[in-house]
Amino acid sequence: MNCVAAMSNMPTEAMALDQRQPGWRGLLQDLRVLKRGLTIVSKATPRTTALYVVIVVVLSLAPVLQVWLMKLLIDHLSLRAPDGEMVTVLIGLYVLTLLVMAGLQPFQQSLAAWLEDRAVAEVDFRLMEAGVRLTDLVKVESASFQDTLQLIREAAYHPPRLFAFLQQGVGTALTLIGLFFSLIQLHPLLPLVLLAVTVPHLLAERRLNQRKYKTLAEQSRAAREMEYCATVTTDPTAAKEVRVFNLGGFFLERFRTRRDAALRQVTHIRYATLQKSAWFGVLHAIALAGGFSYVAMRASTGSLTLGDIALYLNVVIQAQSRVAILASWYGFLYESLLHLRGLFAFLDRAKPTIALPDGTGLRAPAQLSQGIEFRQVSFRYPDGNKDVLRNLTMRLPPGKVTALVGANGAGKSTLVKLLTRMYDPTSGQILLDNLPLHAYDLSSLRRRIAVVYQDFARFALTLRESIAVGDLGIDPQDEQVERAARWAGADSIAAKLPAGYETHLTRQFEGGVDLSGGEWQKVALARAFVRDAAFVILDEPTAALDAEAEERLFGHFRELVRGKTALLISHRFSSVRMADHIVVLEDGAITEAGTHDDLIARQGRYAELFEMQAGRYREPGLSST
Amino acid sequence: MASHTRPFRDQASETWRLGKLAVLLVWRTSPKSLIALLILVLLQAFLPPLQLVLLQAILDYTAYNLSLAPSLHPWIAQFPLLTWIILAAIVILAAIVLAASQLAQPFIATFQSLIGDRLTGHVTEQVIQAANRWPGLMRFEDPSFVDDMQRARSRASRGGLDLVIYGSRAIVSLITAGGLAFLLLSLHPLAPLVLILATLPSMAQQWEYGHRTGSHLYWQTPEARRLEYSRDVLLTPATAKDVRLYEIGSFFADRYMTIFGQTTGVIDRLRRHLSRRMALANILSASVVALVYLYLVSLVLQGQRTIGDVSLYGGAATLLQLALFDLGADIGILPGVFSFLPSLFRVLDAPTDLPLSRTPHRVPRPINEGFVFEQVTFSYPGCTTPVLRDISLHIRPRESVALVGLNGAGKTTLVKLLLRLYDPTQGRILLDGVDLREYDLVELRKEIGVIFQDFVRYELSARENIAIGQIDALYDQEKLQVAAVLSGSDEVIQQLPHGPDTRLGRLFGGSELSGGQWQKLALARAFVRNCQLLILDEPTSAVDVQTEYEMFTRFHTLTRNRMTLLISHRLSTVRMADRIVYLAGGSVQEVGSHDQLMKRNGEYARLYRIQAAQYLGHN
Repeated sequence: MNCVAAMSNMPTEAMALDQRQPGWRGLLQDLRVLKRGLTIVSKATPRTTALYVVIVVVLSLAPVLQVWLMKLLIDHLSLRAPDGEMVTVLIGLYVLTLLVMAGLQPFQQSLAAWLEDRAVAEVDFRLMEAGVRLTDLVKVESASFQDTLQLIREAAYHPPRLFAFLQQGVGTALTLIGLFFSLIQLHPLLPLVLLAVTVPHLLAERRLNQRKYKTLAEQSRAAREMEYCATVTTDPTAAKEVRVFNLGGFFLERFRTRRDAALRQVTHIRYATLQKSAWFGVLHAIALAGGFSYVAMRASTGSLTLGDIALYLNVVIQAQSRVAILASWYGFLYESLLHLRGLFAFLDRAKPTIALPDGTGLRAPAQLSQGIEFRQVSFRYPDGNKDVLRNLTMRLPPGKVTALVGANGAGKSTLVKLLTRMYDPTSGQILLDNLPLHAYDLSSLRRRIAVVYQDFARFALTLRESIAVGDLGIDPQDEQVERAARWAGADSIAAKLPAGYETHLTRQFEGGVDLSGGEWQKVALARAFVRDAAFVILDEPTAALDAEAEERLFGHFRELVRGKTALLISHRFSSVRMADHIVVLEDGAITEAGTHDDLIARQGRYAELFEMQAGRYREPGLSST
Repeated sequence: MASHTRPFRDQASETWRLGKLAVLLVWRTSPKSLIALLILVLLQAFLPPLQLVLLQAILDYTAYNLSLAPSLHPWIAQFPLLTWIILAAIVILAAIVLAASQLAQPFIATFQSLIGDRLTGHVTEQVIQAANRWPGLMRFEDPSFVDDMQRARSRASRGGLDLVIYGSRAIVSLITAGGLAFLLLSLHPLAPLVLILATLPSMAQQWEYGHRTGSHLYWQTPEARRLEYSRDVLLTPATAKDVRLYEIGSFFADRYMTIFGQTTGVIDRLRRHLSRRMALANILSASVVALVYLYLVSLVLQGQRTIGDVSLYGGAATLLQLALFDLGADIGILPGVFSFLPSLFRVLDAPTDLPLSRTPHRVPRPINEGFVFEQVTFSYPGCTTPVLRDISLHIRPRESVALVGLNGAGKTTLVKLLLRLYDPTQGRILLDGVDLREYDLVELRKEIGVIFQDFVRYELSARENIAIGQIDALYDQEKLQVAAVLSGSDEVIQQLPHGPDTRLGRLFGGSELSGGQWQKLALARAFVRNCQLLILDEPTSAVDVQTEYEMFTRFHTLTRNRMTLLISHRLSTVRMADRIVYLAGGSVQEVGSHDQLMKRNGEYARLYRIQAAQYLGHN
């Protein structure tokens, strides 16, 4: 295992994956995780798994049979008058084992690969199911989730390892036990003595690995620092700044210091581990030599046959390589189980947090009749230390455009999340047509809301698909998609793309094209317009658009939202002016509300903020009030 | 997967070439460990044949002592004690060999890991140094090169260790096979040849299997990445909201299943086909080994060979077969293990991307005439359409120039040329009459300060984040303090748990700042830098009204009497500049002060009126 690489993928202090309990409890936990990991695939493909197990068992026991046959063969050959027939039978059987092993081995390999693929897919399916179960963002946006996510992605590659372990670990153990027990007829204690030396060796290896990984976990921060220095200097994102500010040398030095420190630590660990392994190796060798001398003594007195000597020696030689394999695979298994424990903990905890109606909730209306009302809504993020919204009371009149203004961090985006039930308020209620949001069927509710987020998603799909996913009910080839694109101004994008609407977006995959910020915004807008929504929310929809594009959008915005209820969040007062109703959000509460002219006349906060922006457009000498 | 099937000869020569480069790389990193590893590996390789020989000797001498077989060497019969002594010696030797086999593995594993650790660190360092050698942006904006860098970096960690492990395994297999073949010569001169020939089909199948179906870790196929994308879309915060709102989780799940079904179907069939062929080849090879056993047994029955020989030659034949299988498989895997090396070497060998003058000019302090664009045309490498056409422009000292234009007009590109992140395709840019290319690049850039629209939020301390503006000033407390006050960052820093030494950013569990707070830090960077030209690229597009208003006054302090280039959408910000340059379609359309351009009634005036009308109504 590459320590340095492993270090950057280890759990940090902050991520307490299911803590491993020491001693016997820990072992039981491990077995349960192992069983669950294997069951994931065996349930999906029971016959193939059974076939694989059978092949592994056959191939594991074959060497034991071979060793035994060889002993019998040698015994018969060393008789003064060897029985030709018996010899033929024995050699025939021996040849048979050779052929069977040779023929089965490729199938073991390909079956293992097949099962490994399925394992990856099964885990991915469960991860996706978990994602779908998490219908709200409470867990997804939490800090610990972010930390866990990277680990989970790593962990997804470990179930396949379990199958390799079945073969390398369990199979090898089977061979080893078989080999040792074939020594029973030499002396009943012999296998126990050998086991007594091997088992502590393996357990010690395991403990060594545990200690190694614990130390590595502490070092993982150093490894991530190194990784960060490397990323900053080699990733395109920071490239221009690194050059302009001449930071290359700074980060290189930083990298070097941390790398040298990390290497020193890791080297120390490795040598310490080696020392301990070496001691055990010597111990093991002494025990082998002891057994060997015993066999030799008995052979010299004639109480053992030649075949027995051959048996003992062959067993020892064959056992050796297998002990080494077993020891290293224990290390791998430990790491895999660690990851899997985290993975399963994640899957088990992936449940929605918001309150869902028992049975089916109400259907959301196609058009709002009473509008939306916030009644004394307070909200605090799960890992936040203060309320983002405090006793907020606000009305969004039906069929009208309401604009929401306020400083960054005042809670505007949070409001949007509450409206779409990505979170539920900590206290208070949000009513839609006089009924609380949680009375509605979640799916039905969300289908009636269209949102263009400030940080909308840029999907790696074709242009058409990126828009069409706004309404999964329609056929992507439907005319509606193109109509929505026209409204948003995205048709001009299609016109200049090499494959028009079928062009793949984002550079993530080959043949994909990247769009500018403004173009992405138009795609997000088109996606929102495809929906037949009752309620439209636009969060900073024109941040990346220039004056002309902004003008064009608002030109037919009113037509687009006619009959619908709309919420517009913007700090460009130019857009806000056009709303029917304006609401000012400050420090988590609504401080002013009314039309633009009302609020200007009031000379309050709104008027102040408006003047800050508009003032600079005035020609000198022509100031308003 | 099909793209990875190439004729064996090409594969072999490529693998050989990369193997040599890999060995050189490892040698440069940790020569001592490499030598130690090679010695250990050699030792380990010779152990199996040695074990077999000792086994044979033990059996034969014991047989003789038990009077089961005639003496091997006539003169030994005269010294019965000698045989016991020899036997004892052989037994002790055997014990030592067994112990050596036992100990070899942990030692080898340790040295492999030591080399792997160092290799990772070394390779990463080399890549960073290579990146630092490119003063321009060309490589970072070239998609295939960025791919190479990605691959080199992501595989460097695992790849290094795998190189060492699989490489040493291949060497062990080769040497062991050689030793065993040598042993078999004494059975019959043709024996090794026959065995090797019989095993060649198996080796070829092993190679083909390893090379065509190779482990997923190495190939990182586009399909695998698409699968990962479909899976991750539900869990990454960037896409989380949209996916839930539009309920497209099932859409992506279906997509995953489709891609998975397609790709695994192909691979499954391939694997089954190859397995059948491999099984047949293996049986052929095993049959020849069986023949060796039969031959030996018949010889023993005829009294021409000893029992020990059965063990020796039979064992040698079996082990030779296994060693050759392993060799075949390793040769099949090695190309995958090496697959990141070409990318790595392309990155390390890439030369500088901007011509640097051998006799650089000193940068004038102070600048007298300013920056002049002389008929500059520019197209990005690989593109035919120019982004900037025939630009002529003069930025004078103590003057503020604003650059406006619609998205895609070329404003950011102009800035990149000014910073010499690219060189013009035609024309030149002069500083005080001398082409930018004649100046020492690092010195030149020291005189220019930038706040980019997408400035970087470094995962460093607050103090370091400010010192980024002038990294030599990292320990100049006073300078940093002054910059913090002028930019308003001092208020931000006071609220942090550990003050200026607080780590910022999520990656290392640091404190998170809001967009506005980060903007102040970025502003501090500009205050720290003693530059003669300041470039502000959309400095307030992300902040709210209140913050923007406050920053305005600070900007004034920052840019007073300094040569400034300002890019902004907000024509209200721009109108304060001394001169405004309106870009459209890559060329300069209008130049003048705000009043001049309004009087001219061109494009600028039209845009200005649109924006103003949005606030003030159509008067």
